[in-house]
Amino acid sequence: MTCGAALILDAAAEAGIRAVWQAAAQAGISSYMLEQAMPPHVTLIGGETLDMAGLREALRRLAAVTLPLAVDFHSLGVFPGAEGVVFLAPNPTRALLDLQAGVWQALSPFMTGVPDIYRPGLWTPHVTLGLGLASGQVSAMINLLSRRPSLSFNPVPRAARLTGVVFGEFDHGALMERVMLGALASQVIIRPVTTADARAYNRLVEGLDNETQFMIAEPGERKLTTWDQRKRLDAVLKTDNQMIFVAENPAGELVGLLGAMGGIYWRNHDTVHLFIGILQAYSGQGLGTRLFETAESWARSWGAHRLELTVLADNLRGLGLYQKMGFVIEGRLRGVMKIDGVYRDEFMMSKLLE
Amino acid sequence: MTCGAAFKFDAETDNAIRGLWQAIEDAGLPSELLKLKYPPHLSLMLCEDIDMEGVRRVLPDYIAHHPPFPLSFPALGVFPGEVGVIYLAPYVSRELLDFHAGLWDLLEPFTTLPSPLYRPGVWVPHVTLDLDISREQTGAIVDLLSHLDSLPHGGLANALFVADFPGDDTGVHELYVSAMGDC
Repeated sequence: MTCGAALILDAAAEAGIRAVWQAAAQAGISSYMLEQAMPPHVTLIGGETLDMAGLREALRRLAAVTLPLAVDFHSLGVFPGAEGVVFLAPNPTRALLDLQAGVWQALSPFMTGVPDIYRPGLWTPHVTLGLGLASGQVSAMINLLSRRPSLSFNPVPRAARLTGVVFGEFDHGALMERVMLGALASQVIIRPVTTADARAYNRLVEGLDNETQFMIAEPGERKLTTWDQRKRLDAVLKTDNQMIFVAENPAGELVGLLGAMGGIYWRNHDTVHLFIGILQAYSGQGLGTRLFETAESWARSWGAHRLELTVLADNLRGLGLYQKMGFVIEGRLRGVMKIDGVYRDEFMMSKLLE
Repeated sequence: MTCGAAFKFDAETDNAIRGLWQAIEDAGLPSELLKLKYPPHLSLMLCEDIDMEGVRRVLPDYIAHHPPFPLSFPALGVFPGEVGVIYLAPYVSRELLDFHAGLWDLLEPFTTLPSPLYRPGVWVPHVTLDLDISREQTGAIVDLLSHLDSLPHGGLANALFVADFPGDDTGVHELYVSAMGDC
């Protein structure tokens, strides 16, 4: 069976898009969209079901997506070709691309025949207005939508909200099952770690090592028992210039961390080395920024002078976050990490607290 | 004066886009970009004025740390309005958005009246094919272009330039240009 996940829109936007579908049918351009089982949507991924149990489990974990997302339907788009598609294009924000990448990453292992157009980096967010259009119909559709001398597509409001993720399984176009995902990540709290977190902290670190190459350890390499971790956290908490902040979701699971390790000698006491990790399902939702802000205000509170960190040179996302937080590149550490047998460079970055 | 920072492309992509401008002209439709004599480009930032001394101080290091971006166009776009804009819509990666956001943070202090349309979170990456076109002409140009088998693909945004965009027929006046990094 075919299946897919899509974002749905707020009521005003949905009504507006349905009105466009209706108008396109009345004008004899296309009635295809009106006949579909899905409401107006932005498809995140589509393909064939491979493992429904796996999909269900992945969907459960995806309940963390942050919604609603505000979008601006700034323009009309056309996928050209003999069977053209006319669509409404939202501005591609980082939050929207992150959300899609998270869904693709979570669901694609349990699907087959997922077209490349859903691969992060190749995904073009769009709400289809008309499909299978010959070229005269493409311009008819454009004209239908730009009748008014206005930036907004009457009747579709320009400012809209993406309010939910729907997963559906289809049999010959009929919607068999529909799962709504919630919006929990906005409820994630940031707090200092405690020794009682030792087990959850280990689980988080293990999850991070498995998910990304950007952590220092290989998957399974760290072998701290809960008791070891408890002692380590206790030592950190007893040191005046060291701290670990964690991000905790409403289910009590730790989903992100930021460690701040001040130097152990007087001369480097005011220099704080940072490390950060956020589970992919929770990335791109501002948690990194919140963790940094929390850590910085903690560091300022006791008079830290310098925050520093290293980042793999090709971790553009990390670089972007750190630059946004005011870190500057000080230099390149050549061949400092060996990952999958290849020596990779890191950047040394720092921020001075004045 | 309007000035700004924008990507330039590899020769093949550059030619392909000039070919689209020419195709619009050849069809008897107004092709404004040919008249403006701008090179094919993807604007990252537009402003009223920019302090080039500051730009020259901070920009080379930033560019050197970023390799060229892959550039392919899955779609055409239309900014509607009384007079419309038709553009090529590139694939948008998170890396591109991050690069753009970083560039803004870096250059904004040196700009006067930066256009809010190019602000991170608002910016819509686009390569303009035509502008100042009436609604009737918009439909005709879209029909013309959507006949094409494919839009330019497999290219690179491989250089960044800062220039004045005078809006007459003298082309852009380049103030700074650099190839993207080779890291």
